[in-house]
Amino acid sequence: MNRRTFWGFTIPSVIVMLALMVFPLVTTVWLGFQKLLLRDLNNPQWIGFDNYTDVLSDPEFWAAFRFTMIFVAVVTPVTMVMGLGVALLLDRVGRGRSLYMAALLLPFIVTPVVGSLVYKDLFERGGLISWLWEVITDDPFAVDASNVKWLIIIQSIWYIMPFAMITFFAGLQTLPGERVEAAAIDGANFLRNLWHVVLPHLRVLILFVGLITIMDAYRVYDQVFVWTGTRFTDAHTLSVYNVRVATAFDIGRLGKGNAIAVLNVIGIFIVLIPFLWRSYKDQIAERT
Amino acid sequence: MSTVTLDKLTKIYPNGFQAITELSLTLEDGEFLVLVGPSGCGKSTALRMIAGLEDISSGDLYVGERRLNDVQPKDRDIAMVFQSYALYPQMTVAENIGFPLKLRKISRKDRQEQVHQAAEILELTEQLEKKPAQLSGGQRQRVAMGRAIVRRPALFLMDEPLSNLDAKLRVQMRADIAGIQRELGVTTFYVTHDQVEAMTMGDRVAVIKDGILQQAAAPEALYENPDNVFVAAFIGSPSMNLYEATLTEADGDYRLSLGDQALSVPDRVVAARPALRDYLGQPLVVGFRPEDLEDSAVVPDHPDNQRLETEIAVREALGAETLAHFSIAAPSVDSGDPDALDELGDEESSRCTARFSAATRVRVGDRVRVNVSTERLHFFDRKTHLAIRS
Repeated sequence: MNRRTFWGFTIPSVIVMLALMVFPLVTTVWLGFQKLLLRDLNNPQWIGFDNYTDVLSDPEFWAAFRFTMIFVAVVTPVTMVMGLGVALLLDRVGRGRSLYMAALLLPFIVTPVVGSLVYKDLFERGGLISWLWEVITDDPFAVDASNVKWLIIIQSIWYIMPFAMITFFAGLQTLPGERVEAAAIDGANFLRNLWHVVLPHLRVLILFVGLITIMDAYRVYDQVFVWTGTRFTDAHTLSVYNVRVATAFDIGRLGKGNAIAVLNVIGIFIVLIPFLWRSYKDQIAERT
Repeated sequence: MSTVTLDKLTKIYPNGFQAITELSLTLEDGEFLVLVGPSGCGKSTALRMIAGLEDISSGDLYVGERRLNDVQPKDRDIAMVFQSYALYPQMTVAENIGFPLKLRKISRKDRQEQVHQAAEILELTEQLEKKPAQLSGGQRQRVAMGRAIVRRPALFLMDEPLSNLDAKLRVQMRADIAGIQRELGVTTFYVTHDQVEAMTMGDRVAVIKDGILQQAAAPEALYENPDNVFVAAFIGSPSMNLYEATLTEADGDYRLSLGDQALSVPDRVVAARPALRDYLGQPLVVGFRPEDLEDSAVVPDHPDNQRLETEIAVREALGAETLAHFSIAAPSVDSGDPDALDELGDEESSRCTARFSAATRVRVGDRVRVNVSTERLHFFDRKTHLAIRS
């Protein structure tokens, strides 16, 4: 391949990467060091790390950080285990498989905001679950600061699980039947087969789903915003906190908002390091 | 180690398809039995029923005195080698071979010892720490064998284990597997579509077609005395030549009319098959193997009335022998082998293959006279396709 052909193929994607990823990222970092208000966009002032010290000393940031961590720590493993379980069940279904699949994928297909609204209304006063709760306990169920976090987590699991399920299900379809049969003859029961045959086969997908789920969970916004709005700030995640700060009181502290965004990027990156390291090692191993 | 008995094993799938019909076979202790048949004849289904991977619709399966119909695959004391080898890719060779032992909770020390023994037999000692992806096809095949022999099962099942190997390696592994089996003395049930594998490896060969057992016998017996047209055509390469013909008697001499030509059949041939007299004057199926034909220029000393005249259409010089293809003006017979190539020719003329000795000088287009060893003719009923013997 000569030099011209090489650049001819490479330049378009380099331009797209620069325009859509590098430029916004650099801008974000730069804006994080400015004092910049929405109502006074023409007058940015360089203030160094002031935005960062401000944010890091804000207890609401740490509350959001704490809930985000809990959210990631609960939602990721639960959706993955449930996704695998449902995929294994679905794999055994003979008749009407596509019907089950469509039903299971529904939460994933519905727009998150719409899904969240529907789900929330079930629990609000006058909603079906709230009413059932009243029938059983004589007290209507009410969303409050003590349960809203768990309601958000439960709904998010319901919403995110289909992604893990469909990915694992696809992976199961590529598992050679003879390998499963060989294990059965070798003496493997269900759990041994799962551990020695199925999970090793899905290994790369597990890594992939883990990566995506953690990222999505870390950046969760829609569900949290619908459930809490301006109430229950205790149950805000970092993304919601970020938007709240950047748009607060019509002042719009854009500089500070960008600083939070930078912190979030760094946070996601730190959480993902083990996964990135693992898949890097896999790639190296594959090449040798 | 023990005898294995299949008693009227039948497999009917939920959609009504009957894959196996009343298959009865007995494998003696230590016997190597090959089940051979064209693709889709149900031979793999039979194997999978023995393994416990398919339910048995009816009939009984015994290993020794133990009835295995409702026993889980893992409790049947059998080992299986798959066509795809079905190795565990994340495990090393040693872990693959030792896996069945690990699942049987055998101590690490005993496991290592047995894995090394198996590896020694299979010449895999150098490869024990490698992963399957780093091995050649032949080595993977050996690992699959290792996983089977390490358990010292009562029965080996092998499902076309050589079909993923290239031709040269297949010949070598053929001998290796047969050798290992004899060394270990484990009763073996081997499935293949390749009649050469069947003939070279098996103590006994069972030919199956459309789920029905055709004949089970030692390879030589199967070759010399096929029970029916299908077995006659399926065993042997190139296939036996089969035609519709008529046997007549005149003045105490027997004549076989084959299209517009005729062969004199010695009295002994008819005397050995008394039933053949009932077919006099009626169409029957006659068969002769390619090696029972010879170029008359090479062997001039042959009765003139036991020769066919023809024109060579295709010639394949193989070095040790030469295959000559020509046509014979007689209707050919469909042996029922779906894998067989469509017969060359039409109603009046059919393809015939002869195996001439290398000394032959025939060329394409030559008109030649072909000696037929009429002592070695095979006769079959035209309707039932069964051999006419007694």
